[in-house]
Order: sequence, then structure tokens, then C-alpha cells
Amino acid sequence: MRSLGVGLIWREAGRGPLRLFMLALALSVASMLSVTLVADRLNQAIKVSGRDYIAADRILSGSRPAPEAWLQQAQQQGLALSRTQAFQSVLFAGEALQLASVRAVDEAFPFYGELQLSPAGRVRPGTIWLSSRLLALLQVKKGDRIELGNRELEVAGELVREPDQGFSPMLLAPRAMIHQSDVAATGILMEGSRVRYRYLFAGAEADLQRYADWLQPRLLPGQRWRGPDNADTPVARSLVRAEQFFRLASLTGVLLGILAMAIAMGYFSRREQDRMALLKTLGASRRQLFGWLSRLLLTLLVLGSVMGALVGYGLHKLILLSLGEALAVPLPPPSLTPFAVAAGLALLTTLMLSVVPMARLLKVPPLRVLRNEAEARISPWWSAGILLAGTFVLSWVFAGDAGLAIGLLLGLVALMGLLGGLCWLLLALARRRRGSIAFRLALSRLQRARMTTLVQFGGVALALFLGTLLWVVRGELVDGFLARLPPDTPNRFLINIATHERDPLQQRLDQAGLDRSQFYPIVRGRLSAINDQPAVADVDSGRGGGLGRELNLTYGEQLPDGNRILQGDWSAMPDSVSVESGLAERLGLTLGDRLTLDLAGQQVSAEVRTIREVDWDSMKPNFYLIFSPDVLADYPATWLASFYLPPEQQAFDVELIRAFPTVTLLDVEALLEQLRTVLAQVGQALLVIMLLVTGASLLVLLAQMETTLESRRRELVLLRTLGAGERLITASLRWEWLAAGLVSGLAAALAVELCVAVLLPWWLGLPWQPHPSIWIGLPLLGAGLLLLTGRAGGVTRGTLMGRLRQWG
Amino acid sequence: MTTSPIIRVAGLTHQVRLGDESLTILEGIALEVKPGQSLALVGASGSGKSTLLGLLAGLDRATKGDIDISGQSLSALDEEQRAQLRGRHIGFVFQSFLLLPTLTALENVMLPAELQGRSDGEQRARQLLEQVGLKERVRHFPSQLSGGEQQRVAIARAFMTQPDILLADEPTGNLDHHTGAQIIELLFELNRTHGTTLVMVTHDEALASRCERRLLMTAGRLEEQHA
Repeated sequence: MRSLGVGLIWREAGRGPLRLFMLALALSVASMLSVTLVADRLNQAIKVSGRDYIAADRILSGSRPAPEAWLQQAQQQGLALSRTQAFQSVLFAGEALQLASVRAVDEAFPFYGELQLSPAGRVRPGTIWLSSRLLALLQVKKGDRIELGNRELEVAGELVREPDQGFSPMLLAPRAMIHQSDVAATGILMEGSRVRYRYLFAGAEADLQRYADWLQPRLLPGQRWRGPDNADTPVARSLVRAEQFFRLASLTGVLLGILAMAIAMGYFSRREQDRMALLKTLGASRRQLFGWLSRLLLTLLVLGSVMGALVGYGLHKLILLSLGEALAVPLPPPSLTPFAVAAGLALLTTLMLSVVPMARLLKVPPLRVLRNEAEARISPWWSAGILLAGTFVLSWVFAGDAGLAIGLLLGLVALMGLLGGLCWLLLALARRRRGSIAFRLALSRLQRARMTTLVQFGGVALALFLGTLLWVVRGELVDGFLARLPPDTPNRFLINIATHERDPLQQRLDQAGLDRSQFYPIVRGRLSAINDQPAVADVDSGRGGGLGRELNLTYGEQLPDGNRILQGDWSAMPDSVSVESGLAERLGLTLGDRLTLDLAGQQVSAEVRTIREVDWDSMKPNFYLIFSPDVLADYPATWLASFYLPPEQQAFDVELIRAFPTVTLLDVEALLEQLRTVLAQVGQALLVIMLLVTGASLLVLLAQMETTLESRRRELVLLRTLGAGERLITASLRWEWLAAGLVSGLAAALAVELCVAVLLPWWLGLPWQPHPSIWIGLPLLGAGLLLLTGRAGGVTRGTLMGRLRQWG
Repeated sequence: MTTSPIIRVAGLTHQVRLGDESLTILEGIALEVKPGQSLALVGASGSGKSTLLGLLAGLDRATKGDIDISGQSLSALDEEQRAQLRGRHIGFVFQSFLLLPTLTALENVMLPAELQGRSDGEQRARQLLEQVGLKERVRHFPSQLSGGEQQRVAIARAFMTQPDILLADEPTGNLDHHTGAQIIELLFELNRTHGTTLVMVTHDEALASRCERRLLMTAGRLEEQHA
């Protein structure tokens, strides 16, 4: 038995539906494996970039020193500690004096990231490092001595970059860095001084967690404990999005693969019924047949998985290669888990897809050899139920999000319903129409087996839908994002502009022909009460905070670019404040609430009239709170503006600093460049996975074609035998494919648009806009693909005699 | 000495459900066939001939009545046991040959023996193929054989397990007159040399006239005709 059984398996495995099944399985495995491997690494990169961004694993910050007992506790728990504090003070160098933002650090600083000093060195007691602006403003160089409070310090060089300095165009004063041990000697910190204390912790994750559990209940208002998860740089944000997209893409690839597998398996089991009946007639027992089928499946499973694993591993390498610098971290070798997960996926899908077809095959009545209509009856609801449940579990496990999984499944079911409706409509319309005989024959074929037709259309539409959905989302993600960073994105920020400098500066920029933003007034203030209830200071979390520290407040009559009103009326002017939507959500603010702010001891208040959405990635000046001019205009303000300086006008920087020495000029060109590079690389990496998904879509089309090919052949040969011309047959087939393609494409377009409208804002936080191109493109694409694969399928190829014999 | 019948059918009635209606296909069939006899079942299309053949092979269960094959009551057996019984006692020849397209002629013939777990089949299969005149074609696949040749392979397959009974469903139905005649010769020759009982459904007068007995099926009832 063995030789024959294995021979049969091999020959069977090489044939149409099983080959497709195996390919689709391999594709699903490859899709899942490559993305799981990549996601693994992306996560590490995000973690590392986040860690660098705060220079530690965790930080504790606040406006008062942390009790020594807390810090000892941390060290007892095996955590490394670094103490830093920041304050503003005046530096004296001979005649020159300048307000500076001074940071005191110890030897341990920083745990992660790079503290760039020029010349390279360390922050030692008795020395001070100054930013290039301070060096210029104080007119000092390395080796000079300057005074800070009561202490004289030697200038050690230039402070180029602090890892955890972040991107904030609002930094008020130029920066300086000294050693922790010199702070006391300066004598400038007294009771009531404004100091930010920041304690950096590093250690094993378990120790950190244990310490956090101990510490968090003890935190006082104004103190904040956070880890790298909260750190969000534009780069980290785009990596997070890329990772989400990879998951969506690979889930799509897996779903399409499952669809192709289901189609192929269904076809295989239908076709195999005759053979099973014959073998039973010849005396084969169920156990024998079960053994055969299991071995067949096992072979497919193993071959498909191995193929998928190889391809998946290769693809993940390719994706990593295209990601390049975006993953500026040395990567450890991949763990075995993704491979195990992929093998689990292969096993689960194979079982899920084969249990009903196999049961049907084993139940085939042997009488089928005499009566072709004899079939094992297993309700189609079983297959549908198992498929839906299995797909749900897969999506859930994979997306890690039950909501998304349910949404996807509901979307798929809705798509099928939609298709049913469209099909029905088309057929009903067409029935009334008189057309050529070719057209009517085509429709009769579509009409005769409505359920089969529906499933057929469904497969094609689903493939189009999922494939397109992904292309659209990818486009939004990468191109849409890059479009918001056009070449003339502001790459210089001017801050700390005094009111009397505003007009001359504006003139200077305009004379140079530079593209600039409006000038925004900045008033510093602290949110002190909401609806006359004192605001609790430690509510803030996430993006940049919002409470417990001074905010940059602005006022104006114009809504800044890139802001979108979500609620309320912007023109409701006097006594109004507009709140950024994220802050409004965190503080639970609604229209009509009254906010009170403390501006250096003076209280002002205004009513929340609008809630705004702000594009934080736009690299433009953004504000949490924008007041109407009547509220803030009387308070002292500095001004802020941004502009784009083309590379050929670099000299303008120096000119500007000389003309306006007290204005701070920030160059963010490097940051923009990094962001653009990362986005471009992410876009390229996404292309790799898109190819996989497109391949899966095509596989579904092929599987669909293959299943209908045989019945088509019979029918067409019959028509031919009855005297129909080759031309008529070809025309009739074209009509059928055209109709199927158009309807599927139309349904897919509708579904894509609906889905994108929901998915983009909710999942990726991007705004939706209509995509007219897919409404035209998808039906054409559907029809084109079907016509093409249909032709390639060779339904009309060969001699009539040959074709008759093929199914004799 | 009278030999006991190898096939005994008593009070056989078969009904199928078509929607809400129940349709009687066979009614009150009684039949006894002695070992080595040849028997033709004739009758109009849809009269129930093939159904009877299927029931005799245990491919389906009768609604009422009993069938004994080699003294074994079919109604007492489950599907698995019926499959075993078929493997040991019954050979089949079909109108549309029903060869497995992925197996060579030789493998197709060996298949029933292998299904019984016997691995010594190749020698016998080659002999049988030689007997049906296909010695040179053992390695060919069904699609490379003509209709007549395919049916010869099917006949060789049917004799592979040395069955007591050979059931044939219009074995010449898909063949031209000349080829059909050759197949008939072959069937009867093998029937003689192997001492097999032959039951066949046919529309072919030439074939029916070669059989020892001829039974006419009319609307589910069976009637012996004497030539």
C-alpha cells in the first residue's frame, strides 16, 4: 500500500488545487513570519529610540527634590541612578551677562543616547559646557572663566547635544551644563527657586517594574514617573505606525492566503468525491482513506510551511535591508518564537480548512460511482462557521485587538452581503435586457448557480478589496505623511523674540524672500483651575504633558495652519480659548468649561469655545491653548516664528544672529532630514510586504479561476458540440468575466472606501479623503485581471476532440 | 447436489426521498443467482437497474428486504464491513471505466489488492493486463489509452482480487460496436476461466443474449425472461 499511497499523494500534490493550496499556505506563512520577525525588530528599535530619547529606562521628574529614601530604595533594588537638575540663571563673563538654562548632571549621565561635547570629554567638577549660542553671546572660548552665582567655572567647550533635550522650539534660554557637585557652591538655589529635578534610572525590566510598583503610590502632585513608552519623537511615531501597518498588511496576506486555501480545498474535495467513491467501491476502508488524506495533508503542510519559512525569512531580511538606518540599532538574532507561531498558524489554518472537506470526502457514499448526484451532506454552515471562528481567532491573536478582528470579520461579511445585493441587481437588470446570444449565455451561466456565483464574485472582490485597502492605507501613511513635510517645511525656528524686535525681524525675513510663518505671541502660564476647581497637577501624560508645568500660551484671531476645528465655533471671539483635542480629552474638557491660568501670579480666565485637532507631525508651531486676543493681549509676551531657509542661503543664519543677538535661532534641518529618510525607508520596506499581499490576491484569483475552469470547459465544449462558433464562445466568456470583474471591482471599491473612512481616523489617526481613482480603477482592474487569467487558463484552447477526451 | 446461491435477494424494496415525496425505485424484488451464472439486467432507463446493482454491491442500503452475498447478509453489515466484503468478493466494471487518472494502467489494476494490504499484486496485475492484451501498455496513464483499452484495464482491475461476483454497469455503453464486441468476448472469457458469477446491466442486445439468464426490470419490478 505504501508505495502506491505515497505515489498517489505525490502525483496529487503536484496537481492544480493542491498546488495552489500549498502555495497559498506558503504565502500565509511567509507573510506572517516575515512581518513577525520585522515587528520584533521594529519594536526593539522603537524601544531603543525611546530609551535614548529620555537617556534612561525610567525617569522621575518634579519641581521638588525626591526624598533620599526613595533614591536609596531604588539603589537597593539594583537600579542605577543619575541625578540631574535644571534651573535658569545668569552667567557672567567679564562685562557680558546672559540668562541661561543650566543643567547639572553627575558622572552617570546619560545612561543611553549620546551626550555630544566638543571637544569630546566629560562633565567634571569646576567646568561648564556652553551651547554655541552662549559661547557667541558671552564671547568666550574654551579655557575662559565665567561666573555662575558664587562659583567660578572654567569653560570646557561646546555643549552640542543632550540626548534627552527633545525637540522643543520653546526652549527659552540657551543651554549650559555643569557638574552636580558644583550646584551647592554657586549658592543660587534657595527656597522657592524654580528648579526641575530629574532622576534617571536604569536596570533590568523586572527590577524597574518592582520599583515602579513601590514608588507610584508615593508620588506627590507635580511628580511624574515615566518610561520610554511615553516618549514620542516623530521618528518613533512613524516607526510605530509602520509596525501597525506591517501587521495589517501581513494579516491581510494571511487572510488572502486562507481564502485561496479555502477555495482550493473546497474544489479539491468536490473533485475528489468521485475518486473516494470509487476507492470505497473497490473495498477501501474509511481508515485507509483517512490515512491517505492525512498523509496528503501532512505533506502539504510540511512542504508549504518549509517553503513559507524560507521565503518569509528572506523577505524579512529584505525588509530590514530597506529599513536601513531607520533601525539604527544592532539587532540580536531573531528568536525562535516567530517560527513557532508561523508553524502554529500553518497547522491551525490547515486543520481549520480541511476538517469539513475531509469529513465530506470520508462520508461520500460509494453509490456515487453509479449516481453522480449522490453526495455526503454536510451543511455549508459548518464550513462557514469554522472559517469565521478560525479567522476571528487568527485576527485576534495577530492584531492583538478583538475590536479590529471583529471589525475585519464584519467587514468581510458585509462585503459578501453587498456583493450578493449587487449581483442580484445586475442579474435582475440584465434579465430585462435583450443582448447578443453571447451576452445572454454569459448571464445564464452567472444566473444558474446563484450561490456559486456569489462565492465566486466574493472571492474576487475580497482579493481586490484587501489588496487595494492596503495600497490606499500605505499611500496615506507614507505619501500622505511625506506630503506634509514638503521640501519647504520650516527648518528654522525663531523664539524669544521681544516685541520691539518683531517688526524689524519680519522685514528682514521678507527682504530675504524667505517663506515664513506668522509671528505668534507667547505668554507663559500654568493652568490653575477648571470651572473654579483647582486643577490637579499630575494628570498629564503622553504627548508633551499639559499640566503641572508652564505652557506656552498664544492668542490670535486666525486659526493657525494645520489646525482643524472639531467642535465649536472659532469666530465666537471675546473671552474664548481653543483647546487641543488630546489635552481636552486628558482633562475631560468640553465646550463651555472655564479655564483659569496663572500668569506669574496673575489670574486670567476664558471659556472653552472650540476644540481643535493639531497635526503634531507637521513641524510647525503648535499650541495646546489659543486664546482670543482680549484675554492675553495686555500681558508681556515674546514672539515665535518659523521659516524655511534654502540650503544656498545658509549664511543668513549668521547674519540674523548678529543682527538680533537675543533672539534664539533653532536649526531643525537635521531632524527633518532624519524624519524624511526614515519615512522613505519605511515606504520602501512596505513595498516588499505589499508585493507579498498582491501575490496573495493573485493567488485567490487563480484559485477561483481554476475551480470554475472545469465546469466551464464542459459547458463550452457542449456548446461547441451543439454548433456554437469559437467566436461566440469567446465572446460569451468575455461577457461573463467582464460582468464578474466589474461587479466585484465596484463592490470592492465601495468596501475600501467605507473601510478607509473608518480605519484611517480610528486606527492610524489620519484624516480621510475620498479616493475617486479606486472607483474607476477597481472595476477595470477586476475585469482586466479576470479576462487575463481566464485567457491564460486556456478554456478555449486545444481541439474539440482533445477537450472532449479530457473529461471523458 | 444443488449448490447454494451466491446471491440471494428477498423482498427487496427501495425508496428515496425527493423533497417531501417518497419515490419507490424498487419493489418486492426476489432473486437467486448460482455461482458461475451470468445474468443480464435489462430495462428502460430509470427502471431501477443501476439501483439494484448498487444495492447488490452494498453501495447503498435498501429500505426493506434482505440481500445475502456468499451467505452473508448485507443488512447486518456497516459501511466499513460492506467495503471489506466488496474488496474480497465483488469486482466492478463501469460504463465510464472510472480509472484513476493519476495512476498507470498497472497501478490501477494493482489498486484493489493494495487496498487489502497485499503487496504481491504486481505479478498478477501484469498477468491480467497480458490477458486483456495490454502487455505493452502497463506504464501508460488512462489519458494515453483509448476507450476500449481503458475498459480492458478496468476489467483487469475487476478480476484482480479473484472476486466471486463481477458486477458490470453497461460495460460497453461508451464503446463503439466493434470495441464493445471485443470487450464482451473478454468478459465472458475471463468469466469462464475464473468461474466468476456475472451480473450486468446493459442495453446491448448482443451482450444480453450472451448471458445465461435475462431479467427485465420494469418500473421497479423484476421479471425473468426466457430467451
